[in-house]
Amino acid sequence: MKHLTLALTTSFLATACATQSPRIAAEPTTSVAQTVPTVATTSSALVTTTPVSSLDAAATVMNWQTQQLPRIQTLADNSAKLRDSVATLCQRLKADQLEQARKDWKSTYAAWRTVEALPMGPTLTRRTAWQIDVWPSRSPKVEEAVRLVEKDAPIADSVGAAAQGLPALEYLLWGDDRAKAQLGRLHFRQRCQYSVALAREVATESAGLLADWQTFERQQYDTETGRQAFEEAVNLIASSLQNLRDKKLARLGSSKIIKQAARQDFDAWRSHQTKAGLTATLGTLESIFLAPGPNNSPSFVDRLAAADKPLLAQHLRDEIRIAREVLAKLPEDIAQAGSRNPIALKPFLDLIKRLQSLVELQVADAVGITIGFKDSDGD
Amino acid sequence: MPLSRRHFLAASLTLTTWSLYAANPAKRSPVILSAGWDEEETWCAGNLSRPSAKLPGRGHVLIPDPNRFGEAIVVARRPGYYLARIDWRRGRLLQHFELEDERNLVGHAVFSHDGKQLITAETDERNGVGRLVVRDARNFKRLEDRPSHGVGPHEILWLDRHTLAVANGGILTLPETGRYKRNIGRMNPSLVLIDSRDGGLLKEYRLPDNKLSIRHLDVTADGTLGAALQNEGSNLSPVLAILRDGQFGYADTPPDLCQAMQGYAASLAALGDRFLMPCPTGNLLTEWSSTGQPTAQLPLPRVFGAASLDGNWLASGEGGEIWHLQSGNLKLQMVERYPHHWDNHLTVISGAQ
Repeated sequence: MKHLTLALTTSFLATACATQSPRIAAEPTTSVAQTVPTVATTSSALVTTTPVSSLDAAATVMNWQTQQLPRIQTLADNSAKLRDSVATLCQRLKADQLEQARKDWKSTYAAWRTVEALPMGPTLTRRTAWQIDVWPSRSPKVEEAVRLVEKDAPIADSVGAAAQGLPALEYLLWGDDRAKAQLGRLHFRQRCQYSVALAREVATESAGLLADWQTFERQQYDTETGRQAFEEAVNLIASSLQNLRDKKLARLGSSKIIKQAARQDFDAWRSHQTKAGLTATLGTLESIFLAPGPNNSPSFVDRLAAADKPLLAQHLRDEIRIAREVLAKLPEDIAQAGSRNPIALKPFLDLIKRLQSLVELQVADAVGITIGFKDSDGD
Repeated sequence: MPLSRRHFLAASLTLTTWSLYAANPAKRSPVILSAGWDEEETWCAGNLSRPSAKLPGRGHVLIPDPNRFGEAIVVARRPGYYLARIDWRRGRLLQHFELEDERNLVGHAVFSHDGKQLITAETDERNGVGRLVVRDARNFKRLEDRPSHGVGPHEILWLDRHTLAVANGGILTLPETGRYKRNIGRMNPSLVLIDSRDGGLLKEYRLPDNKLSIRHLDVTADGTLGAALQNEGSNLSPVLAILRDGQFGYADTPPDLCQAMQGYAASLAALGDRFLMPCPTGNLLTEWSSTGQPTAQLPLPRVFGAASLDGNWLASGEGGEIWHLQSGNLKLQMVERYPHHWDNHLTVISGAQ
C-alpha cells in the first residue's frame, strides 16, 4: 500500500494565477486513511462551542439599543436641518446658503455613519440604508432624475436608488470636480428642486426611523429572545466591519486585485468626508464593545472578562485602540491619498480585517453564537 | 409530470460534463474549469492546466459557451455584480459586464439550447424577490425578466427542452447587509419547475424543514433530480433531497451520516445513476444512488466541487486539490494540487484540448 502524501505549497505562491502545473501527489491507493483531514473547521454551519455561560445576552443587546437611540436622534435632528438649509439654499441661491447646506450634509452624513454601524431593529426592517445611502451613486442617473423631478412632488418610483439619498445629494452640492461651480448649476430650477426633494426624503426617513426606534428601544427580552437579538446584532456588526473594509474603501480591503483604486471608489470622496465617515463608524463600534450600559452597567468587554474571557476582552480593547490610532494618522483626504497610493491604507485595512476576524471567530465562539455569513464561506 | 421523461433525459443530458467540442475526442484531453483565488486573494478562473484569467471579484460557476470554442462565462458569486467572458485557452478576460442597478447575481446561469441566450438567476434588490433574466449571450443585455417564483434563487438546470428547474434557496439577502441572511426564521425554500417558453410555474416542491436551503441541482441518467441542501437551522438533517416519481423528499440518511455532513453540501454532480455530493464543513465527500441511498463516503478536507469525467468522479478542494475518484466506491485514484483555492464548482469539457 502506498502512502498518500500531499504536496506542500511552498513554491506555489510564485505561480499564483499564472501557469499552473499540478503536482501529482499520489498514485492509485487502496487506503485513504491518511487523507483524513486535520484542518479546523472555521465555517459557519453548526459549529458547536461551549459558550460563555454568564454573559447576559439580553442585557448586552439592550445596552446596545440604549446607546443607539441618541445616535438616531442626532441623525433625525441633523437631517431636519439639512432639509431646511437645502430649501433655503434653493430660495436664495447664495454662497453662504450653499456652505450651510454642505455643512449640514456633512453632519447628517456623519450621524448616519454612526447609526449604520449597528443596523439592527428598525434600521434593518425599514431598509434605511437602501432609502438614504445607496452607494455608489450614479451621476448619470442623478442627472436623469433632475430632468424628471416635479416641484413638491415625491421622487418618482422610476428613479432608482442609485440616484437618491445622501450620496446623490452630495453630488448635487459638490459636483464631481468643480465644487465652486455648483452654485451656478443650482440656478437651474429642477436641479435645486431635486436637491430639495432628496433632502426632504432623507429627513422623512430619519424621522420615521426615530419614531420606530423609540418604540423598539423599549423592547424587553427574555433569555431566548435576548440570545436571538444578540446573535443578530453580532452578525450585523460583523457585516458592518465587512462593509467598512470593503465598499467604503474602494474594495481595497476585500481583494488585492491589480486594479488601481480611483478617487470615486471611496465613500464620500466629493465632500472629502471619507475619513470622517470611517471615524464615525469606528466610534460606534468602539462604544458597542467598550462603553458601559445604563446606570454604569458593564460594557461588553467587561462582561466578557467577567465570564472567564479576560484575554479576549483585552484583545478587543487593544485592536480597537490601535485601529483608532492608525485611522487618526491617515491623511485627511483619504480618497485622494488612497487613489494615489493604496498601500498607505493597508495598515488600517489589515486592522479592520483582524477586528472582523476577532468578532466572527473568537467573540462568536466565546459567546456561543453562529455567524451566518463569512466572506470565506462557500455558497 | 416531473421526471417522467427519464429516457429522454438519460439520452440528452450530461450536465456537468460538456462534450460539445469533442469533434475528435481521441486526440483531445478533457478540460477542467473552475473559479478560485490565490494566496493574495486574487480572484481568477480558467482551465486548471493553463494560466487563469483574473476576475474583478469572486466568481462562482463557469459555463462553457457552446457557440464559441475556448470561451466560458463566469458568473459572480452572490451577491455578485458582474458577468465575465474568459478565454480559458489563453487565460484572458475577454469581456466584463457590470450588472444593471438594483440587481445582483447569485452565482449561477445556463445557456439556452441554441447558445444565443444566457439565463441568469438574480435577486431584485428593491424587494428581494428572485428573478430569471434572459440575456443576449454576446453582450449580456437584458432581453426578458421573469420571476424565479421564490426568494434567493441559486442553481438553474435544464430538465428538458422547455423545463427549467430552479433551486430557490429561500434566504433573503439585501445589498445594504451584504451576505447577511435576513429571514432565517421565515425562510421559504422551494424547488420549482418553470416553463421556459413563458416563465410560468409548472410545479413547486417544498421540504418539511424550511431551514434547509435548496441550493444545487443535478439529474441522474434515470431522471432523478437531486438537490443539495444547506442547513440554516440547528437540527441535524439530511443535506440531499431527491425528486423522483413526482415525490420530493430526503435521501435516506442515517443519523451518524447527518452528523458527519455537518449540514452543508457545497455542490452536486451526477454520473449514471449516482450522485456525488461534497460536504466541506464536515470534510466529507459522499456518493449516493439515485434512489437516495448512501453508497460511499470519503473524508477529504474542505471538499467543495464535484464533476464526472470519463466514468469516474472529480472533486475539488479549497486547499487546491483535485481528487480523482472511482465511482461506486470513492476509491481515491490520484490527487493533484494547484496553487489556488477552488470555489464550489467544477466544469468538465470532454475532449476539448
